[in-house]
Amino acid sequence: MKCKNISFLLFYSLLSFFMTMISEQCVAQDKSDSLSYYYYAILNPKEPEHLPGGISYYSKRKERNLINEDTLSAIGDLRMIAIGQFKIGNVYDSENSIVEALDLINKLKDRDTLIESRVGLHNQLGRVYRSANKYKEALKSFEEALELASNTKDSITILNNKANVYKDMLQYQQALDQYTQVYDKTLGHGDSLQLAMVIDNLGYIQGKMNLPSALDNLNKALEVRLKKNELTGVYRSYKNLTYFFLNRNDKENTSLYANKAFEVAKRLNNGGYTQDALSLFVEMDEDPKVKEYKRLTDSIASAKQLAENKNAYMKYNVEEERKKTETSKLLQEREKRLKVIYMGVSAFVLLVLLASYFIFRYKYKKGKIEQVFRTETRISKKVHDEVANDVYHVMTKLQSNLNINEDVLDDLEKIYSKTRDISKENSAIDVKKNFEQILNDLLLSYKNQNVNIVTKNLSKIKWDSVSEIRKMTIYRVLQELMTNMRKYSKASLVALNFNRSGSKISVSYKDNGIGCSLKKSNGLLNAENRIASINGTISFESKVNEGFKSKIII
Amino acid sequence: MFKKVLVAEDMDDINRGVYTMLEELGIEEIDQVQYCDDAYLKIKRGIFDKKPYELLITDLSFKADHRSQKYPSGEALVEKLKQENIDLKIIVYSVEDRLQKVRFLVNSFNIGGYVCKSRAGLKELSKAISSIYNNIQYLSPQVKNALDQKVDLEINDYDIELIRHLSNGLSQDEISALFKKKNISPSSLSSIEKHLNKLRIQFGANNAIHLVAIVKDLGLI
Repeated sequence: MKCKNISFLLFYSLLSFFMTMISEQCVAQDKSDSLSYYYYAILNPKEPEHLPGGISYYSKRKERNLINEDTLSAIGDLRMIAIGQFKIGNVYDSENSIVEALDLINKLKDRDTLIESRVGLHNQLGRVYRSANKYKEALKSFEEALELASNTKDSITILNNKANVYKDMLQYQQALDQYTQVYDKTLGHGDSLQLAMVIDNLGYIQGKMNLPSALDNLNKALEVRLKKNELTGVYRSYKNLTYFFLNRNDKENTSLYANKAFEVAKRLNNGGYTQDALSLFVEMDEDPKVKEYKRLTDSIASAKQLAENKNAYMKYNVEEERKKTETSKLLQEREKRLKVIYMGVSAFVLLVLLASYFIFRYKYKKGKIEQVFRTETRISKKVHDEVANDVYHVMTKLQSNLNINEDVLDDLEKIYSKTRDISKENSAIDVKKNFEQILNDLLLSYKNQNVNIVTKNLSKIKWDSVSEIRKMTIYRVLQELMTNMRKYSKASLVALNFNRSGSKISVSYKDNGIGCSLKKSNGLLNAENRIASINGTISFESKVNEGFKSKIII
Repeated sequence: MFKKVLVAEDMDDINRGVYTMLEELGIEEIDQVQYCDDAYLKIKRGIFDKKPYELLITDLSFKADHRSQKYPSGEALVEKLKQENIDLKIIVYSVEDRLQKVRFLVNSFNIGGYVCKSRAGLKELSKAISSIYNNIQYLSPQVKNALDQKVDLEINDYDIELIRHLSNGLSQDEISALFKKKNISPSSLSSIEKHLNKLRIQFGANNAIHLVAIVKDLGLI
């Protein structure tokens, strides 16, 4: 049983292993399948949908590769796109794709290692320009490609392309020079088909220039191509021979080669070649109407090409312009965003600075007020513990002396109580809890046989929510007012009215004393300073014989 | 009279005065210390020797010197003694006369007496000792208010309302009727009379008219 189990497990794991291998292979195959399918769809299109399909496939692939930052693959994709667009006739799109690819290469650090791609792209660009009849640009591109080309085969192709441009420009002497150069290079290299192509082109130009070896070369090329059975080459040879004899009015040979070309075209089973071959017969025709038709067709075609070029150029410019506006718009928006961000950041910094300034100022002020309270308390304790005690000392000492004058003792007692008052005015008070009681006790200590004190709403204020500094200040200021009252007012009744509105606390003081002409005593000045230090207000109001009024708001 | 008394006081002259006074009272054993820590140790020793002190007279503030103290003030000493539940009567004898302090000491530690150091201090202390010996609490006249629950300076809304109606010319009967109608209590004529009497005393007024005049002058109505 156990053994069975193990073998089953082994089997199962092996199976799953193979399954994964197979499935992975399947996926890989799928990918490479579509890649190779579209690769041939572009290089060798057979159906009408091949080229557009290939272009769209490579466009998507390029975007993917760019996102994955695989620039090398993206460049390869762009090359394929450019070839496809060129074949479909979208010359400007093709040019754009190539330029985009070249830009990507320029941005790469190791661009020097991409010589093959760059040569290919420049060569392709030259071909694009040539087909759009932009000969100057075409030549420039081929020269750039030539500069980069490192192997002979590449440079032969490029030189040949260059010569073709001269041929198109009807500059036969330059074309001849180029072809001769290509011929020399090809001889040493030894690819017979390539050599045949070169000899064929050389012969064509020589024919145009009426040089003796023209027919020889044309025939030599044909011979090689026939031997290799390269049909497109053979077709070109027949075509060039037809032109050769056409130029020399040799009707018999012209017709002979034109027919041969037509035969080959039919064997190639390609409409383009067949049409091209048939156009040879049109050229041969002596009928002036046919000749006129041919001339018109050609001029219309070239006018159409010119118009297309112009249109495409304009389209391209408009597109470029649009792209530029978009980029500048994007840039503007980015700047706007940045501006907003900068403004936000600076506003924030400003706020923080302001806030910290106020916090610092508040803390500094608070610290100062606390310092004042601490100093007062310290001095008060000293006065109490040292001066008052010492005076009491002397008093008790004298009291035990039976011969002492009572007046001296009375004076001494006055000094004693004065010191105690000073000490009391500044002594430490714990206002944290039960402030109502503390305040009541304070007022109570001023109440006696002759002085009555009445409070209103003292118990209605929630003192626990009032800061210590404010409570302390209220305590001290009331102490000053009451001391002032006891000393000068001769009042018999004092009323204190407490009120709270919002965060402010107000206390109105009123007595029925003799009043004064408001020469502020030290005590009142002190009260004023205390209130000012916590940003409160205090007002005094008094006339002789009309009592004393004060209002505190903190 | 007490037989064994301990005095904690750091001033020699005061000590001398107190000593003379205690002798006059006929107290046999008088011990004096200048530090609260010493006082604590002496009290413990007395209990250990089965000859405990019956009374402690202590100052509140002691001058700090080179000796570091476990109990730096009379308050700390009293707190410790009460914590340990030591059976001992205590009189605080201090220059301190703030009501809060006195109230706190009496309420928290149930001290027997509080005497303020003043010219009459020694006489008061003597009275306090006799009083406490008879289990009666003694407070110096300056601080007597501390425990007086009735001393409330506050006048309330009811009082204000009462005086306002008086100032508007209403008689006490009319006020009573109005309060009944408004559901304000107390509204009976007798309690209104009582309140007015209280207010008259508080404001030192001779009669109701005088009371209204005074209250108006003070801006309370």
